[in-house]
Amino acid sequence: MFEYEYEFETGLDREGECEFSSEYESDQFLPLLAPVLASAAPAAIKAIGGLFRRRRRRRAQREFELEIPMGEYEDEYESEFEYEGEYEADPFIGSLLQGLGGALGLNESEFELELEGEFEGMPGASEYEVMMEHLAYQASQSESEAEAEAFLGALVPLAARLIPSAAKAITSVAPSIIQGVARVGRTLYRSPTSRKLIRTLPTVLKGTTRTLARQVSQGKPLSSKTALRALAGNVATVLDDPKKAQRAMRNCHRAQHRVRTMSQRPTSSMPSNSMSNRRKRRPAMA
Amino acid sequence: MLDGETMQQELEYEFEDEYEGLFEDEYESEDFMGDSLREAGRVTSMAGMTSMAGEGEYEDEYEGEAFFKKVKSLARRLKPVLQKVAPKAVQVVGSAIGGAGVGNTLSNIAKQLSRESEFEYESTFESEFEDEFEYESTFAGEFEEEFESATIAQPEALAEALAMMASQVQSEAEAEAYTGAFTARIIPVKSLAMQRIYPRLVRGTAALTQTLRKSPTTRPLVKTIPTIAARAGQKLARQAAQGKSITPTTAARVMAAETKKVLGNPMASAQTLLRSSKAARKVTQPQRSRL
Repeated sequence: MFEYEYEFETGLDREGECEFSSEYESDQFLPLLAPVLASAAPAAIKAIGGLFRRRRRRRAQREFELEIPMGEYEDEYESEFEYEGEYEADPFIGSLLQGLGGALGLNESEFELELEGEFEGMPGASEYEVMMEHLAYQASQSESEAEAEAFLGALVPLAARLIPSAAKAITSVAPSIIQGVARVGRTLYRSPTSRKLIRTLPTVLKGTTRTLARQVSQGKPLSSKTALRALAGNVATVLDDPKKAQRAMRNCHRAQHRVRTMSQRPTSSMPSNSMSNRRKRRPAMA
Repeated sequence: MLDGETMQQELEYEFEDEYEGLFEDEYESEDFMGDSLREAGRVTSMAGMTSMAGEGEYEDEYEGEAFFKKVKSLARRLKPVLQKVAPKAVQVVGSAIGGAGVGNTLSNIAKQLSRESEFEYESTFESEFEDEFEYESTFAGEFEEEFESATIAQPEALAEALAMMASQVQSEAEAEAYTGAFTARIIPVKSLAMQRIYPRLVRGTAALTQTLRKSPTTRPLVKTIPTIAARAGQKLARQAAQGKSITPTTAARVMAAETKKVLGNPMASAQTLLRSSKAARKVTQPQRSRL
């Protein structure tokens, strides 16, 4: 009775989504994805760069004791800074933007994502990874921007738990990462063509977590600046490469199917995939 | 036939109108909700995670008599606000998690309960003024018992800090992002049953944040949401561990009941607000990360 009730009431995903499942597998998807990524990638990186500019402005305001309500003029300021010295806010963001389009001037090893392997087929993915993908899928399907932001904000604590050794340090910069992800999500959500790219954000965040964990293991202190740079770097790595973006979206789609399959089974209180099993399979980044 | 979102929007507008009226009539001469709530809300500025004045104000007196007086004073001021906002909050949470039908049913129950408990609350207050000392000692005992009880979930400090940021930021979308983040910190995700319901719980807390942020007067109450989510999450996880089915209706009922327990009771709300502010300070004080 309860199972049927749940099936009836569950509306976590909409009917007909499965017809797109082959979309991510097809080679024909890449040429369609490439132009969307070409416009979305710089916009997403600029959205993160906006946080550097905003904080710089706030510092300047404090110095001159000006009290301008920033929320009111934020968009105006954003567009103003779009063209005036947009690389001045942070040189790293500037180099990322300049390197987009296949000539990324990054050290590949720094932001290289570990997309290959077990997660592709989902069997070894931890509950946190599956839930991240599922929430990102929900965000891309949300009816309002605010709801999408809530789902995207929830990704950050889940991502921080993926690498327990660095979780505390990453949590300390969580507010900055949440702000960054929220801005990227907002940018991608606003256009219906780029909205599906929200599904790449779990991959971006997992990469960001690994980058930050590596810094922690090297004894480097984490700050808002390093966290936002790591996020922007991983956004560039995924969104500047149609193949990586396609793979990330495919992972998200599969996770969605997995959760949907789970919803149609009788309820079980058994843990899904324990983190300990997951850790045995993949060594910690640190 | 209205869809869930339209119904929710209508409810929010209705609440806003009602609430604005209340604010104008009853609080016309008061700025915000008075000093007590400002004290509770006065913790940190979000932008730089910088602590403000008043830090440590409750450090020593947290469990003392002065603290109970502050709780009582704040509760008295919160009462008329909560009477209006609690049934709406219950309805919004119920609708966001279980659907519009569930939300309406739960709201009707909440309204009925609120009428009954209002009388109890009034009589409690009357007796309190008659014999304040006696009341305080009784209340203090109950209060400490509740705090000491390990069965009642308390959200961690980081979740409280994120909720505080959600209550203070200007952007609605950013507030929702912080809401999603503190919900994810709180709700356990280990069992399949919880994984199924997880997005709905995020949606529920997001809708609650949106409702409470509508008016500047109710905005500080966003800081009570981690407590609501933690208690609901704990109850649902316990049910899941017992092998019980967690349907959206079950989750909506549990979350709405916890919303009612906190927002439907001025003393509980006041206590939660003060405790939340104290916990948030613990996180924000040492962290002064700057770009």
